[in-house]
Amino acid sequence: MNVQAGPGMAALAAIKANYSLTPEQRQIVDHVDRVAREILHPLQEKMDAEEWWPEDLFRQMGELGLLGITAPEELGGSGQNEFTQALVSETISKWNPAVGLSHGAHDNLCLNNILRNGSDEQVRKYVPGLCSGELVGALGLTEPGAGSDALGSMATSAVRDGNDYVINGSKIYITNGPIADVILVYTKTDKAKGAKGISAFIVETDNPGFKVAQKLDKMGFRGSPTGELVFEDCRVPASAMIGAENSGVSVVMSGLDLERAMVASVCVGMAERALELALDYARIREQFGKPIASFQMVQSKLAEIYVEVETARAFGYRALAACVGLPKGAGGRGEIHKLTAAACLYAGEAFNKAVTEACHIHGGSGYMQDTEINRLYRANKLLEIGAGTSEVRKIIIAEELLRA
Amino acid sequence: MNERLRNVPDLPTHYLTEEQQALADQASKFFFSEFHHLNAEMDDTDDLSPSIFPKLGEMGYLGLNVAPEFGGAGLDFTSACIITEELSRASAAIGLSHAAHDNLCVNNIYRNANDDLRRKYLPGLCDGSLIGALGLTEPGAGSDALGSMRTTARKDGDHYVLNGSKIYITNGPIADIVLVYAKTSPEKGAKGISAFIVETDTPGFKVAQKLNKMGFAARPQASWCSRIAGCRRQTWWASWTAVWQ
Ligand SMILES: Cc1cc2nc3c(=O)[nH]c(=O)nc-3n(C[C@H](O)[C@H](O)[C@H](O)COP(=O)(O)OP(=O)(O)OC[C@H]3O[C@@H](n4cnc5c(N)ncnc54)[C@H](O)[C@@H]3O)c2cc1C
Ligand SMILES: Cc1cc2nc3c(=O)[nH]c(=O)nc-3n(C[C@H](O)[C@H](O)[C@H](O)COP(=O)(O)OP(=O)(O)OC[C@H]3O[C@@H](n4cnc5c(N)ncnc54)[C@H](O)[C@@H]3O)c2cc1C
Repeated sequence: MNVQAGPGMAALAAIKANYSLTPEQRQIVDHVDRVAREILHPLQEKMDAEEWWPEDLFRQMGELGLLGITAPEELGGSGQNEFTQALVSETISKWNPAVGLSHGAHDNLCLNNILRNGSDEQVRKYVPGLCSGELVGALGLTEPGAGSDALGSMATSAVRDGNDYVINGSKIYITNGPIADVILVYTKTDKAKGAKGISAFIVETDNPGFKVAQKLDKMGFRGSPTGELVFEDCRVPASAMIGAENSGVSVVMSGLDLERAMVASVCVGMAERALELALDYARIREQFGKPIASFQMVQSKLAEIYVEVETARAFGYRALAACVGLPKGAGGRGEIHKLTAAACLYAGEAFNKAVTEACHIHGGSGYMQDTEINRLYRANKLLEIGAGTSEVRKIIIAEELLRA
Repeated sequence: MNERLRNVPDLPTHYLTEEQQALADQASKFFFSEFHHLNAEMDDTDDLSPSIFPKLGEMGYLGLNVAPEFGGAGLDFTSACIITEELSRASAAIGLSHAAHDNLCVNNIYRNANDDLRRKYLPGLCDGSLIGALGLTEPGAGSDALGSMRTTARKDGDHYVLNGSKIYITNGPIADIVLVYAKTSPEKGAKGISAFIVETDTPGFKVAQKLNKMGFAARPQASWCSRIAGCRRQTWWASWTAVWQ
């Protein structure tokens, strides 16, 4: 009902076209839009009801060309930049937010991070499997005692022992944690040095020292598996370390900038879907003998949602454009740090407003868990939490503004 | 709870009387010790324990505005709101189920029904052996509940026959008594509406489904179509007119 290109959809498509996407990007977005609508959208209901992840979905996404967007073609990827990756994220999230989240954790947080920061050997070892979906990736930064202050409060440690490192500690709220084959894990290798004593490792989850303590029960993005992970004398070879010892902070910080730009796109896709659903419902639902879309107070909401979608998109795309070609090891400070935090802050809050109004337009039906708008509404809060909360995003912006 | 306000001498305590304040304190203590710990499980299972309404009745928290001669607590409206507030603080879900029962159903019957109906239903509703609900909203009639109402009640001898459905009805799946609005003279629009008390064991009534909400779980809430097809009620049960007439 809502996929037919009514005037609203056509207008949206026209606006998107104005962002001077390359013909290739447009082709990719069209392809992703089609497969996400046809294959991922129908999965929403069961994923949400049961916190269910379809077992072979990553492989299927690999076959459909949705994985390894930024990886070189010879490794099985699409050879695109982060902007295109974000367009893919936006489109998947629009049709299935939970898949969008898991896709982002795999493709951006894990795969792209390995690609940017890993050695040739590491890239060759993991990237092809991550591109085909044979391997599922995750990133483990957050800990029970270390969220906003992830670097300062990090308690997970890796201690050198001959040719190995032995990791101890736990990670929490890790997207894909329960199903991952490969996890990029941040640990302290030198506690005395604080944030400068962090190193990144690639941990394979069949390691006997690794276990999933629990799969968590979320209010939104249900189906995307989120877990608490435990490392107990988890022994990995020194070759599993990404970059040099104690150089993890630059991996974290530049990765987080890209992640925030991605999160902004996730928000845009979901906000756009909220607008479509609200438009559809307002046209169909009649009260007082007329479609509720004919009431000015409803029209006012629709207009406001539209403005949220398009301002978030404009700002998000601007931040993404700045991410393209970001040199390895750059980011984590300066203009890009500020811009991506700002776009992410704005988009998270824009989506919150948009989906709240769109849900409201659905009246009592929007309160029922099995409606698509309600699923979007419940997904809302995370986008102001993950990749740094709204407050953390503001701290970054202000710090950069005030840096002399 | 309200301590903080009371300790600031310049701030009136929302103009509560001493008795109302005592009522609030006592209610808060009871609701927190009896109900607060149930919230997590209610949210999980979306079920309201059958012991809750009788417990509320036993403690005098049902029929808050109803005169003691009908089994109620005989409180003023502000006091009833204070208890609703304290109950919702301890458990939002029980608070809403209680409000649908006590205000939407019980108080409506108390204010508008004739003495026969009041004597028949209020004692059970006040001791918690009967659970009440109110059915106004329909799939096609929400904000425009009166104008778009499609449920009808047709007179048939000394009965009325009701047809139609109601949706999003709090307590619908567990109610014994539903106060139902229906059109008796559709051509008269909002002026052609009458209110009926429907007992849910009447053949012709059914709960089509229990709905899955995002919040207030345990507030049993019906039903995309609690069908009330062919419910037969004796005329005298329906001898009172709708509240807004
Ligand atoms: C569904 C989901 C998926 C996730 N996926 C991943 C993942 O894949 N990998 C991963 O590593 N992490 C993941 N996270 C974790 C996420 O990044 C953290 O939850 C987030 O960084 C916040 O940390 P916290 O939960 O510990 O909150 P806290 O840091 O404890 O924050 C609590 C509150 O305090 C505020 N606060 C904290 N410090 C300050 C301050 N200095 N000034 C003002 N306010 C402050 C915060 O803004 C917040 O409102 C995920 C989380 C969720 C919910
Ligand atoms: C959990 C829950 C419990 C409930 N319990 C009960 C109960 O016990 N008994 C009962 O009878 N009902 C109950 N309801 C129903 C509730 O009263 C209705 O959902 C509410 O009145 C809205 O009606 P609707 O859902 O049909 O939305 P609609 O009336 O379809 O409204 C949809 C949107 O259009 C807007 N709108 C409609 N008309 C106009 C206008 N003229 N101008 C501007 N905007 C307009 C609305 O504000 C809303 O945003 C319950 C609902 C829920 C969700």
